Amino acid sequence: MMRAGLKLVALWSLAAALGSGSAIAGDKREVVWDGFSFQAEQGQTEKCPENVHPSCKLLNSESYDERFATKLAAIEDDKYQFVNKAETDKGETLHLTITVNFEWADIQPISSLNGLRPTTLVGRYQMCSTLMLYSATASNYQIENAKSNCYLKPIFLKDLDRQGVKASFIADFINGADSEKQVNVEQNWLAEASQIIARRRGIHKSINVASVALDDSIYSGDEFRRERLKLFIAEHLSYQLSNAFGKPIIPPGLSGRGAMALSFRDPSRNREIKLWPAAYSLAVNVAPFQKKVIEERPGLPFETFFSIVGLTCESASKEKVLDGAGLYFVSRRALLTQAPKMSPEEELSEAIAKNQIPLENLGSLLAKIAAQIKAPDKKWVESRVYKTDPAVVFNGFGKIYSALKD
Amino acid sequence: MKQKFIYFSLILLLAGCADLEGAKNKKVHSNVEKKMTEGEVRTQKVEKSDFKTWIFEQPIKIRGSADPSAKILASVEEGAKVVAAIKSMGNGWNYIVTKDGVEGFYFGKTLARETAK
Repeated sequence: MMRAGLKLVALWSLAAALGSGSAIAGDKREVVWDGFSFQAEQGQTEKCPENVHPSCKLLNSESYDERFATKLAAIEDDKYQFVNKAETDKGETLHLTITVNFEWADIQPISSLNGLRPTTLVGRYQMCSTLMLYSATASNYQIENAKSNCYLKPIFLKDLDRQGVKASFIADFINGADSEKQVNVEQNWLAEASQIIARRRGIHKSINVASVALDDSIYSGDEFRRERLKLFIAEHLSYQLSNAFGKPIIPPGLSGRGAMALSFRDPSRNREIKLWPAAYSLAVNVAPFQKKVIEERPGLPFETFFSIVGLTCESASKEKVLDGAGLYFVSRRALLTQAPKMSPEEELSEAIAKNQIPLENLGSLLAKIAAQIKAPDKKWVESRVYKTDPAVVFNGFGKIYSALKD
Repeated sequence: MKQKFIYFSLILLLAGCADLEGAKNKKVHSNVEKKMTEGEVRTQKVEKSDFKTWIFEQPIKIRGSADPSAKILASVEEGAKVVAAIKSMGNGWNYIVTKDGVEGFYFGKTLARETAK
């Protein structure tokens, strides 16, 4: 009886609240959508660095920004309300930006694709981005929370034009039709935005990827590819750490400057956002990619691929918890004893698959390292160290975990 | 005055809607009193053995559909223990049905871990 009465009162009050409209909405804390941003060098004036960020043309367009802002504003939350940047920007405010840190259309040389079918797989598109929630006063921009994510999409010949990947490919990648099993990048950003405001904020503990070095033999002579690979490693490790901990990890950056310079469509918004000081910094050293053919049983050869990284980790007080600790990941695939007759399209797919193996291997290794930092497992460490004392690696992971867990 | 009354009434609404078992766990705030209709939640097949005790490492919002603009059915705070069946939808969203009858979706793959048996 009592409960039924309460419900009646509650229903009445809900109706009253809806009737009064802004009474509830007005009490929510506003989060100002600042728009999409890209990492910038100091003094950079170019608003859309299309050569390294093909997506910026779409994301920096007024129509897309408006569409995204509308979707953000529709996010249902009991404490926060996303608003468009033009509406409120006074005093100390909370802001959201999505910075696109890394894009890589890793495709075969266009000249090698002549005469192939439009449906031929020619490469993969990779993108990593970070949602950043930050507070702003008139003179200070301080990060409050961050969440990184990486996305992947296969590229087919029909997706290319003379300039590279078509604008329609990028649009489809970001906000194309979804299926039940696969959300697109935009839907993922929106879902992450709904979560980032709910998570605990102001945790001044983080880890950053301070540097990545590659052995000279890796993509030798192709500086662009080498630079992309370095970013791939930095971004993926940050993304994997962010996922493993379910907590904010410092937005990736190879500089470790303590601030991230961002470039926005509206130049008046270009700013440096202060990052938390990193509790630990990681330096990753990638050893030459290795491949061996192993015949486990007569007539059954396997191609075996090794990725080895040396990991150095230093605390803010310069204590080295890991010093070049070697860790490896191995994958293998059966080799056909008799070469099948392949069409040119199949040959290309085979070549791309082979090219991808080192990246997949590295990606898997980085995911394992992140998972081990979260929950070190002696057996895994013992089975995966390379020329290093397993106890040193295990203890090092434990120290990093202790620093990051709270 | 009107605003204060609205606040008070909303508190009563939450109190009235949470069932007794949910109220024992102060970290789960539910806005539903019965299962959502089929149109709002795509009910998944759940066996009795699927119900486990989970600890949420991050706060979550359980929504009527896998969409951040969908109605929030319940909020779970960080560190809350919830008896529920959770199934990954394979796209970052998870289907959840709690022992208390809250049925919906939340986003975030690694936010809940099963308590040690």
